[in-house]
Amino acid sequence: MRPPFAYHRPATLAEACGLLAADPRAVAMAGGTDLMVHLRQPWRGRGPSAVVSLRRLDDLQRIDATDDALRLGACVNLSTVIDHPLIQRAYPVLPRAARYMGSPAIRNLATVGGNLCNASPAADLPPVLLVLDAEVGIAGGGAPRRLALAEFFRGPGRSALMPGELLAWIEIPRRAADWVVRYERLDVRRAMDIAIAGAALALRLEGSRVVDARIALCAVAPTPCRVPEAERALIDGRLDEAGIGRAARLARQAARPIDDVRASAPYRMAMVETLVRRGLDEIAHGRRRAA
Amino acid sequence: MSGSAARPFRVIGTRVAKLDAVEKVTGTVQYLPDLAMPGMVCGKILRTSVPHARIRRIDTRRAEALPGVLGVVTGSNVEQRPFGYAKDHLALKPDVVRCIRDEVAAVAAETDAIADEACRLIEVDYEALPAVFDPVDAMRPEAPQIHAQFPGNLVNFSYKFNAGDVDRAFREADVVVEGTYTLPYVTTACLGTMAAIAAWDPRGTLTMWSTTQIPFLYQRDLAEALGISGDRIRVLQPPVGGNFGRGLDLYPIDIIAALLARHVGRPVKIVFDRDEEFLASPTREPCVFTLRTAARADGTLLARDARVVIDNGAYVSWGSTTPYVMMTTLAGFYRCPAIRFDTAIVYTNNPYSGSMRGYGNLESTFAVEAQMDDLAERLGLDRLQIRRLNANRPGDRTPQGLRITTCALTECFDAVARDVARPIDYGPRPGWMRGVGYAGMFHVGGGARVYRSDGCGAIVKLDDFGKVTLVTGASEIGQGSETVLAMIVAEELGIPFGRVDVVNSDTAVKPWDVGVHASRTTFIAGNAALLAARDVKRQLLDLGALQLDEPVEALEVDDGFVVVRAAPQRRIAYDRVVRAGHFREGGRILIGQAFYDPPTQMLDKDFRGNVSVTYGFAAQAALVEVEEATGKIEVLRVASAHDVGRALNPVGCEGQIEGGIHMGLGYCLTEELKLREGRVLNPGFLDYKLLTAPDMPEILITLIETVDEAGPFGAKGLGEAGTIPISAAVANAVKDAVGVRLTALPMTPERVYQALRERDSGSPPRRPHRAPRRRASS
Amino acid sequence: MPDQSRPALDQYPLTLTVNGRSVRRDVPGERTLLELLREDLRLIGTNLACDSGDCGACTVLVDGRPQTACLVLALDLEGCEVTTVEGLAARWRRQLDRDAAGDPAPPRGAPAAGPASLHPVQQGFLEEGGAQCGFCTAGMVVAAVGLLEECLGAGRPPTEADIRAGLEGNLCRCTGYVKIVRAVQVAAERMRAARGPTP
Repeated sequence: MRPPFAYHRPATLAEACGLLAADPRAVAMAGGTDLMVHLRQPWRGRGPSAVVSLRRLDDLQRIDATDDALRLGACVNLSTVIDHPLIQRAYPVLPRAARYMGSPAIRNLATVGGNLCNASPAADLPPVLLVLDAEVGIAGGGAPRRLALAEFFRGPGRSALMPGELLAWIEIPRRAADWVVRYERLDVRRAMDIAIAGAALALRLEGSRVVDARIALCAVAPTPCRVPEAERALIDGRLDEAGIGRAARLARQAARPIDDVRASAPYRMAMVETLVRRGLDEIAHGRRRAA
Repeated sequence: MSGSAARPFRVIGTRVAKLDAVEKVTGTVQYLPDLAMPGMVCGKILRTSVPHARIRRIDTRRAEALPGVLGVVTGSNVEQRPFGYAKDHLALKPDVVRCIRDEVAAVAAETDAIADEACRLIEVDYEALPAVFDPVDAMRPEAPQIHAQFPGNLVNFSYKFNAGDVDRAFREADVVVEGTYTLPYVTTACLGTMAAIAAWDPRGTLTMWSTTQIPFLYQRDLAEALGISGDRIRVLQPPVGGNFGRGLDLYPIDIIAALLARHVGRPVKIVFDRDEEFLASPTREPCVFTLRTAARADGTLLARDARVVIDNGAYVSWGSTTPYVMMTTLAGFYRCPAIRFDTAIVYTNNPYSGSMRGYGNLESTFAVEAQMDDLAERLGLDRLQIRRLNANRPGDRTPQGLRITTCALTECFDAVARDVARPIDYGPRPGWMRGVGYAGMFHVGGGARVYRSDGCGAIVKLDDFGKVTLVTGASEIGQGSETVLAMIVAEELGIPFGRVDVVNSDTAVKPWDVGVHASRTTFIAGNAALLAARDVKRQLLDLGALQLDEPVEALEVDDGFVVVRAAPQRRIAYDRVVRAGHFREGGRILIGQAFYDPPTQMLDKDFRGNVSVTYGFAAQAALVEVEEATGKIEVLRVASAHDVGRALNPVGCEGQIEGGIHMGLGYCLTEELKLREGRVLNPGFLDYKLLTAPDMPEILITLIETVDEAGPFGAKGLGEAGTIPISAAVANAVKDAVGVRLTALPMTPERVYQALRERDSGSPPRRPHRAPRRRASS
Repeated sequence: MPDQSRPALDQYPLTLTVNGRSVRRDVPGERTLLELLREDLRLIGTNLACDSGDCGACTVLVDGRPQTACLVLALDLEGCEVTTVEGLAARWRRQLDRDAAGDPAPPRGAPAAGPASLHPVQQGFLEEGGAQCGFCTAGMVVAAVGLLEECLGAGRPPTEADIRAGLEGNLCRCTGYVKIVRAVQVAAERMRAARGPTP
């Protein structure tokens, strides 16, 4: 049971933004896999006044590839992320991350945009998109605006969206082919679980020298976060045991997790180090084998 | 009681579809939440927001004024009597709430949404009282008293058992091992939640539709709680979405549904939503189990000394009788001559525990089997050899006086040792260590006389279409009891399985049965059905003798016919025998009946006696991998061997074992109802983690048939066996893999990780932390 | 209306197809697909077990893809096609009929006949003992149908790992999933034999 609300199904993005701007108590819904659960909480007499369904906004389901970027509409669902040949080819780390999430039925509903806007600290797509230098497009309010993804997350459950705004697309810039990108998370069971800690890594290598690096974590801070100290420690260094160990330790130190029902903070920090070290090891190893 | 078939069985031992399988796969089965009746309204319970408090004020006026609300009941506007094993419980709490489950009011309304809203409009002022959430704290003299009539917060059940000279045995032993094991709250987490429908008729008779497993005891207990006589209650049991021990008591939902229905004069349906199910459905009893075991150098057990502290929670339900079963294993599993067993069962302000599959045996077996491995290690003995050495054997009497008749425990260990060691086509992954662990179990298998009666009635009717109806006291809770009972009747009467219907869901119709628990249904209800079927068969042959003009001894039944043994072409089909038997003057119909109450004794005040006709045994072996860097455990394979007497319904046996392993692995690895200050932190399937399909290991099952002459066609009980040893086997396998002995469940990655780091800091590592860099194949 | 302080809210027209039949209703905004099925259409085969998408018991097919009905707003399904457990047998028959209509050669391998007309997945559950209490069964069977239609449609018979992954969102407390997986394997074979590679 959910509390009563009005329902709108706008046909255009502008109409959707207009509905949200006109009624501060209206909420946008894409796949509903987070929102419909939140709505089950005993509602102290104040639910949303209306749900603005984004299901029919075809613009938000587009996948466009250009020479410069891959752009995903905010309502592209996770099953599409897994199955779409463009995404599989260009960024195989995205299907890998999406496979961690929920179950087939959930993935048929849940959207990329929803995962970002729900802004859970433990969400899986944000760290991956952060190491891919993704940007987001926001519609509504005045002119559409573009934001680096790193600026999108403001706190647990809080994004940079202002009233009347909608996340419209996520854009991933093309990179040289010598970037290697990985994501791994720690959880307890093989499906329907939430990350205890997650680490996304992106490295650009020349031989065994790290030319550029991105590291992002989830579930260990109020928002998904990059680890610039660890990235700096890697860049211009060698991807050897010492360098990997140092970067992993710096990532651990940067983590600020809490104790919660899923895990304790000390364990999460230890797992950050394990995941980063392991991911870098595997990149180094793959690299060595290729050489 | 082995049954009369001299030739191979026609039905017994075949693979059949469950009687209700078609309804279930087509979605036509009607569970309790699916039922509707004219005038029915929705009930919803308001629970306390504070675990321990005095209710200063309840104001229900705004709720009552809400359009669509028919009525509101509280502890002060209904007549109710204390219920529960210790009579310490009122359904609606009038003045004090003692745990976060506690029910303070209930609303009946036209729709769920209105009932929900009405609950939010009820104003309650609580004055918080000092609360206690740990049994050890609760036993201290300065602890808050939870029930005035039970000072010291001790539930006044005493489970003290002594046999032999324990102290001397410990003095003279060659080795003593000890340990303390901490077992958590878990819950049945049935997919179908608890529910009740109550409807009073104009004569003042109450009909309940319930998820109960004990309809007749429930009938009596509910009558008492409502202050009416038991013959005015009728209990119906629709198909239920699981039970696993949840339905073994009378609960506030039942009484409240009846009170609400009486108050508003309409049928009332209450269905728990999922959060409520996690909060208010009875749990397994959390306990701390301290055990010492003494042995000789050759591994022979000399003595065990155990003390168990149980968190009873706020009211007494069946969780506090689980020491009966804990004691049975402590005192009887493996031959051990000297025993001391004692418990402290403590009231706290936590949600109270009830009964759950295995009923104390998981905890007891966990401790016992950990120490069998510890002994083996200390003595330098093979872990299987020490078990075979001490294994129970046919003809044994345990120190309590339990008589072991059929027993294939050793054979079970042999089978799992063989199966777990089957070749596996991949080695451990880099960074993962592999290990194997063993554990066995012993549980009642021929009923369980924990109540004064352990009986079950059966009526078998053969009609003039040749159709057979079994009316059994036994309840179907999804485990397939109807199916196996139909198989027994079909076999005895020589007819195809599909010709037997089973009726079992109405106390106004079915004969008495104490209830579904203790893995008793196949054995007890099976024997009752068999005896009733024999009764019908005798009557059938008598009639057939008249019609075929032959002596009864010359006749037999075969495939739906009464046949002259020496001249089988002379035969009459059952439908014709029956019809001819009653379509005449002085006619008669064929109905057989029996009440089987086994030849067992309740335990006396010293806990001696023989509560079951026979006992079931099993062994399991687990092959696991543990990841050093994270503490993750993966169970690759479980071998599970069971002394079942006879596998009447192999599909059913396997299903119970497979499901039991799932439940036991959950207890072992991922499930825990987390409480803080008496509140449930994870009342949902996201954070109360049942294992999913990809989480499950390969399962290899062996069914060993010892053909127990006391069981129907030789069968023994099995329903709980798959769940009982698996945690111990996995803990032993983890010890084998990485050298750490985990003594608390669940063995989450974090707990394992902590234990691994303690191992590393405490001594030089015996194994490398990081595997050599060997690339795993994709 | 639930809350006196809140004005009565509208109901909205909804037209969709359920188990092959067109359904037209006026529903409130907050009505979920699961509530529409169980309460408005009295299709009680799909069960409510958690209302949070965490258990899969309410899985139905929406335009052929599994979704947890408790998380879907009914109004979002305007013009869509929903199949529940009650519609699986007819769905299978329609698929066979379409094959037969479009194919000059008759289908290879007759579908197994059950006591009622059953989808091969339902038949598999029956034969292999895939249901005990049955509460998860409707969602489990539907999820399996969705999985098999996808795999077989892509010419990719599912492995055991594929089946377990396909059912990873469907919790069962009774069976340990062993006979469920077996039932789906048996069904996959039958479906492949009956329809061959599908367009």
